[in-house]
Amino acid sequence: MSVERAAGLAEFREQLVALLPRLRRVARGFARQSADADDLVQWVLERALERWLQWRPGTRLDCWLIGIMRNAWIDELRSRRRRGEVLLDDEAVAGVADHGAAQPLEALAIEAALHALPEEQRLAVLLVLVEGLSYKEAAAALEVPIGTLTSRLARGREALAVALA
Amino acid sequence: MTPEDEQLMAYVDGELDPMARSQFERALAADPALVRRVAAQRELRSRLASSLDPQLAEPVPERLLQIARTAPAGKAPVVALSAWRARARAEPRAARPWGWPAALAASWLLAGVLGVALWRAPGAGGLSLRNGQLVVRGPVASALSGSLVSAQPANPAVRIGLSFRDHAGRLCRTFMVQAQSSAGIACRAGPDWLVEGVAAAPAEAGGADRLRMAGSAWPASIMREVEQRIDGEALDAAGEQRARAQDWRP
Repeated sequence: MSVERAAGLAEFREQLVALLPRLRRVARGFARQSADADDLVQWVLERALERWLQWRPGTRLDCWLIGIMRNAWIDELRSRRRRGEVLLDDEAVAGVADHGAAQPLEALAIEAALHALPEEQRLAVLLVLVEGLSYKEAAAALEVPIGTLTSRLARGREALAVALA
Repeated sequence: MTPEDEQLMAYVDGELDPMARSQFERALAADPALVRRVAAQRELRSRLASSLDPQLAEPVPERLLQIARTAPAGKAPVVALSAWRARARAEPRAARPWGWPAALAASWLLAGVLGVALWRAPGAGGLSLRNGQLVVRGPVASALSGSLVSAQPANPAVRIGLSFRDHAGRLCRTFMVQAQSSAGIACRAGPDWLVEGVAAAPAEAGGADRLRMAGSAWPASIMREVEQRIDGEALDAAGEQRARAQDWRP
């Protein structure tokens, strides 16, 4: 490996490490159980490293990684369905993600409200309102048109406002 | 969502351009009810942040740190950093080397080209021409009529991306023919799926790897076309199921 390329890779790894807390948080928007969420993060890290040369420096690495995560999660759900595993019914367990850490009531209420949202709305809300992606970036990461993203975002907001009033 | 709601949301999210922004702020100055709605949206944002931000302070498991620092990288062709950086500088071009076939309406010629170039492999599907329009045949047509986005196998020969209603009220779907590295949009007309456009899709690196890269798998031209044609938003899983049950009739 050339010196320059090694330097680029070291820089890439550093950025991955810096993004880990946020990746874990986004992963919990997909997977309710924190163990599943960390598995998802691990998978994303491995794939990202395999393909690190495909990432274009100067573009947002977090958006690229979230896109990888979204596709990985869709594949995971598919293969669970194939294996005949029962997916938790969101309505039935509109509960709270398990982080293994005590949380104040307000945070619990917010998480319950978030997890009661349909996944599409939850992700739109999380990426834009929490992770600070632009509409364009969030739409690209979720592979939907911007109008679809903003409409999911609006409905998610409305539902949250009602749930948290 | 009314246009006013949309403006309000875009304002709170910092998505308005400077002109729209100052216009909105003028309206805001004259409308206490609007001020309250903006404040409610800001409050929701800050409640979300203050509830979820503490997660960022949780210690990251050692296992994940190890992977980020030491897991093997590469498998991609060797490219020197200088070349890699040069490529990055050159890349902001929005347009891809392939384009959207411009004049699909007058397309007997195009039908020949596409039919040969894109759907050449036996079993990969086909196109036929009827009244000057390209009609999808074979496996692509079966996938368009039968597949649900939410229930596709992991690596289908023909992958459906999203389903939506266009401004003419027709149901349309994006599709990708993996073996041909091509993607397109087809809309339902009577019993047929008409091709509205196709573009080359980048070949998937690694073949057997099921991962698709976000934003690169579907050609930008396809996504732009969807944005222009879509009426409302893409169908969700339930909407798709209903549409399929009604045989994709408008």
